[in-house]
Amino acid sequence: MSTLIHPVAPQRGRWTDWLFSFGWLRFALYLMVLHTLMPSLFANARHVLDYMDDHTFHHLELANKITVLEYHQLPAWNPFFCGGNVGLAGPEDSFYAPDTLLRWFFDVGMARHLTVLLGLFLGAEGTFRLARATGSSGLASLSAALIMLTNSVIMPLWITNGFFNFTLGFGLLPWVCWCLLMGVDKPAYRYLGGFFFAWIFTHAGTYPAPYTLLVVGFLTFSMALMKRNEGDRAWLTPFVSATVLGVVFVLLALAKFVPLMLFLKQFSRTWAVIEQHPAPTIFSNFTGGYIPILVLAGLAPVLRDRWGAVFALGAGLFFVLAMGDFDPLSPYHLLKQLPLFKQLRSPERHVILVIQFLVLGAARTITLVEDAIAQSVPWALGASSLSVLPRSLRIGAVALGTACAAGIFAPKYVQMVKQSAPSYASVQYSFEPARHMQQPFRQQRGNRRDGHVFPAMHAGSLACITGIPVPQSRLLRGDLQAEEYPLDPALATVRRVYWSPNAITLDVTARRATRVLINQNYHRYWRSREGTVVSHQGLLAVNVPAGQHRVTLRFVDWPSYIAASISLLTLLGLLGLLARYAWTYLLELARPFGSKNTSKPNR
Amino acid sequence: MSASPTKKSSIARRVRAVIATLDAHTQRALPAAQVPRSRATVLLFLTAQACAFAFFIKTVRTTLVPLVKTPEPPRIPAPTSMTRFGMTEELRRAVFRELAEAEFNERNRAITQNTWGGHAWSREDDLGYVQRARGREVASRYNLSLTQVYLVLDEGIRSRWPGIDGQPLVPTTEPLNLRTE
Repeated sequence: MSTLIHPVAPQRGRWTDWLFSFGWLRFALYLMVLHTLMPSLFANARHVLDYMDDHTFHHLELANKITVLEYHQLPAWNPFFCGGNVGLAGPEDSFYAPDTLLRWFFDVGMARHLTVLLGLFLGAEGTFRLARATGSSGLASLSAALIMLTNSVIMPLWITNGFFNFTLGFGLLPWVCWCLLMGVDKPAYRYLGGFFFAWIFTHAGTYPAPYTLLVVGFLTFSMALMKRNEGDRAWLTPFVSATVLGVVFVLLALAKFVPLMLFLKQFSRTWAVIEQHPAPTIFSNFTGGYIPILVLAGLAPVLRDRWGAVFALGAGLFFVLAMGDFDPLSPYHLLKQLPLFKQLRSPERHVILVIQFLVLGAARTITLVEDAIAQSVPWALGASSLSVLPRSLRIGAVALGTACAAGIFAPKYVQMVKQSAPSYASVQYSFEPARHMQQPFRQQRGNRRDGHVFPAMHAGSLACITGIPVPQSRLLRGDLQAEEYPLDPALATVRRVYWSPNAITLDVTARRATRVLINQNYHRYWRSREGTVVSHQGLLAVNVPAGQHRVTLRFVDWPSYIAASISLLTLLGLLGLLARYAWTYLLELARPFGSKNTSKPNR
Repeated sequence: MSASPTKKSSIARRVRAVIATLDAHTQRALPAAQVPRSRATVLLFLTAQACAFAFFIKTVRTTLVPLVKTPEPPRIPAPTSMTRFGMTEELRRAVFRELAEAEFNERNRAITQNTWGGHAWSREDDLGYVQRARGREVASRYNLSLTQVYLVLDEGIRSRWPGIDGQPLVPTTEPLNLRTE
């Protein structure tokens, strides 16, 4: 039986934690802080950022939206970029992420604003819950959440560049960790953790997902170590939690995982630069405004707090990783030898995990101070402990601890939050939104630096960029009168009957067997019942026999569809479980109204 | 009007129940099953949640609602006998000339300065940078949208309008070939 009014964490040490347990109040606080510190996020809702990568992501998301909402197809193929390229399989694609719904219900530009807010918001709330789960007080956890909400270590750079997959992915990371911790005792959290992990992965989680894997591994081993003396194989429980979480993650993420792996098997990225950053450079990220956090996080292990030690160790580990490939035995160099990690670059991105562990460590110290003040009351009164004091004194002592800790630490935290504001000044949505236009689809020469403009005018941009280079035919053109045409105009005529991103229907009249070219790149998943689909110097083409034919080309990605079906079934199963848990909770809530026996407090 | 003694004692009992709940949170050792619960605490809990939710909604109304109510920019106008993309042909040709000039200059610069050691995709990418900058400048000067500027560029390429060297612009682009360093 669970408590009715309970803090997020399982422990119930301070009644003042209850004051911080109202989620809606925290959410309102996060919104107010963001609105005050980063007004640009709330203005020019349809505008895009100045940086080109934001335009590219905008392009991909708009192309997905058009494919789904206008053509009712899965965006397996994206004809709007590079002259045609894989959609779902692309590492940058975020179609399967739950936040896709935002882009369906709102304008893509607007949805991208909301995605940033959601990422920061989730990062804060996840940190709050994670801190609570490790025993930190409500006050300390809220302090940690506010720092993660406004941290200027690397987040402003990511937002300015349009890397919202990082904002959201690293915002979800603490949720995975929270579920891992809670999952040690409560199985439901393991499923939830798998869901959050899958969300990270499906939202272009090329970096956040491997990093999450590292953090989950680190926390699992840390918890196993902490539980080694608890008996009854308690040390195994973190591994059980991590394994179930991992299995749910794999099943949910399979829809993205299978096409992505097949894609990466075909193409890979070569990154020859050896990246390394001296320790002072990494350290300078934290010495500016975050000295109090450094000091508090450093104090926790000194005060012999176990979670404090784990967080300090985590911060240290990811600090060294952020230093990059400085030695053949450096952690980053060793990490790069692993299959999932070898394509990663920019090791300095690990600083986000350093700040994450530091704020959690600092929360431990604040909690220790808060508890020490509360426990000084019985000491001052000559009592052995809080529990022997009268009820009113017990409540007062805890309130005193919280109030004093707030008085000591709140000004420092408010100052740190305020100091982060100038770093976000570079986030300016100054670039005008694309204007929409309906016309038959055609390829333009385009410009990848203004990628957001082209899908809006129902056109493709041949000029493009992708993280992993894909083959592009040299025969792609931006000046064709018709996008589908015969190789030899003297032998055949071609008329477009229907066009959609994943299916094209043509009427072909051929005097002799000939070849019809489509102004898109070839891919092996294109199929046609009439004729044979071939690559014509990298261009999509179909060999047709003589006569009149209605040729329908379809992009059919069976591995992706099978994987998506498995993920969908898993999701439905999880929704069923969620409904069951919700029902149980409601019954629990209604219990005092149904029976006289349980409505009386126990004494 | 004063409350009856029965009612008073009932209220007092409920207040005591709420305090008992707070106290239960103070005692670490108290097992979850023994944490007192009552109708009063459930009602307190629900009321507090409702107040918190109302406050959250108020915050959303002042912060997020204006964001999601931003009006859509006007669509590109349909063609008329005199205009296309909302522009006369004269204006479209003037815009195209400016874009073509920037492209001609950038391609010449790439050759004379041997930019990127001849890496063709990188040069094309530089052209994209120049085109974007000139496109924004032209759009601002002629009071157009960037979308209109790209539509004009596309029309000029497709219709083979001459650039400043008298030749049409190249209708193809260099295939994607990222640098590895």
